[in-house]
Amino acid sequence: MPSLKKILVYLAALAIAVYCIAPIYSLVIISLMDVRDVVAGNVIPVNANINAYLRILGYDVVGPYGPLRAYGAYEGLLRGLTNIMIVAPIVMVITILATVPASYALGRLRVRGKTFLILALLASRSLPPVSVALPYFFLFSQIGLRTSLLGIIIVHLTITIPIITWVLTGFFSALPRDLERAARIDGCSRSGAFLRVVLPMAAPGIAASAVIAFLFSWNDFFFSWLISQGTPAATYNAQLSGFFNFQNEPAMFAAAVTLQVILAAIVAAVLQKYIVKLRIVDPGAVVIEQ
Amino acid sequence: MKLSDTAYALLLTIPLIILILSVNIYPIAYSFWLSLNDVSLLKRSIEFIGLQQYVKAFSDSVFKNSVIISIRFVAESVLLIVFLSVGIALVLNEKIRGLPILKVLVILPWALSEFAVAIAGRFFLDRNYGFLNALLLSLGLVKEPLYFLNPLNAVDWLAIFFAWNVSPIGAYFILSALQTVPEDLYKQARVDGASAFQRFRMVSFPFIRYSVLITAVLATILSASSVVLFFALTGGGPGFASTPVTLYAFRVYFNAQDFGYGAALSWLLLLSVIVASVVYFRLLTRRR
Repeated sequence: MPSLKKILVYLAALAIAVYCIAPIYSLVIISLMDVRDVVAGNVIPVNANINAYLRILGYDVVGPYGPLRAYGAYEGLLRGLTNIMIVAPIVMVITILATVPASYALGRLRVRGKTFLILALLASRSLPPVSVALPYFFLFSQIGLRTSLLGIIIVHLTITIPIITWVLTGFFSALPRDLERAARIDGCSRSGAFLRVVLPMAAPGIAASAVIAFLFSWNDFFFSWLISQGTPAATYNAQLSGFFNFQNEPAMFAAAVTLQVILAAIVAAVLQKYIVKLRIVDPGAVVIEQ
Repeated sequence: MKLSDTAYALLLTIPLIILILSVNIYPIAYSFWLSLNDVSLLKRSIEFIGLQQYVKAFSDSVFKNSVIISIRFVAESVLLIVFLSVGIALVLNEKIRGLPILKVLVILPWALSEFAVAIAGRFFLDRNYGFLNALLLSLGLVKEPLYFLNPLNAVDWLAIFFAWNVSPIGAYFILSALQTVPEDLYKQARVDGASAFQRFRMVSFPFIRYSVLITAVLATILSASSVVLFFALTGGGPGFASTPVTLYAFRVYFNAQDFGYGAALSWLLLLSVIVASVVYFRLLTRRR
């Protein structure tokens, strides 16, 4: 006989599962149905098909209610997909290469002015995107960065580097110190102890940080759209705004968004076990410990 | 040469700060300068007018309305996010079957971009082809499709979808803190006859205090800066009913092309976010 508490916990777990899935489910089923079946109010896909996906990839199809033309701007969409597949991994790699040494130093060494350094880094992260939007737009137009992927990469780095430094600083400071101390006593240099002892221990945290940096870049709509829209450097998200002119084609819009979500969802699902390991238990401790 | 720890840290950190500041200082300074001018694209003129744009903001009824909407949105979002994050974390901390699957489901909303969340929200709430209406109709709970994104409730729905997107990461932060609570403490509390709520209050809460606070910090900064969700879910409407300061500043910039006034609005926004961040940072670094 299960206890009342067990029943309540399972009910709560079920509610959480439904809550997390419902909006994604509604997006996916709309991408799988003809607009007529959608408007008819079906909550389970009727005449389910992948026509919308084929159409945004540039194929004409025959739907349940007759032939349908390919999405007119599919070439831009595919170019956008290629662009973000170049941008996001580069942002991820540079972020990790830049932040791991810095957060190691801030998290584990006795540093004077640590609070100020962390604050200086974080301050720029709290800038509302709208506040920097127009100047970015002007500046990047003037120096020709709007039409190159480099512009988007730089903007993304200014956001991922502060946030990952902060996350990793907390992570590094929470790792046990005995092994490192022993290595230093045995004659390892600071860098040697870092590479041979601390880095292997930190691998899960670094993996989680890499995921966060990748997903930020992959998911960014505002800056990508603002800077690259209408240029050859336009990313997938920037191209998605084109669907605002297709209000009577919900299936293609939903399919295009789902396509963007799928990779992000897979990456997050596979690596979620590392995210718990980040242990942002006591972010204040990094500063307090001094 | 042997570097001290401080020098070593500075060597690794200063280049990052320089990179980030050099990319950010110009935009901020430039927008401040813009905010002191009246920029007219039509007349191709820039006229220095001091703080008049800021004075204008305080007599602009749309701006005042947008401030109220921002405050309402941030308050609702932060409350929802903290409540949901703690709730989800507590369930994920139980020993239940199917836990690995539940953990994956929970992280999914976080993997969606703000834009994808907005579009999912749109398809969920739309009057014509929305999922929620279709569900309510097919269950016979309503006779007519409901108009969810009405002037009264649009902001609430935006906050709900924002919280849907952000609470998974809050839940994960809090879960990782919950897992540091020694099992013995729970046992001891149970022996002492503490109720479930008392156990949470006396045993778990001290361990998760800081994760809850950091979740609230992130929720505040992110929700106050959020613009894409509004832009893509409601477009700020109906009318200006769901236009927060961020979207209003954006519209003044890019639709009205009144760069001076838009810059002034975005500076007011920036100042309020800085004030909030400083308050929070003091809370976080206060000695226990």
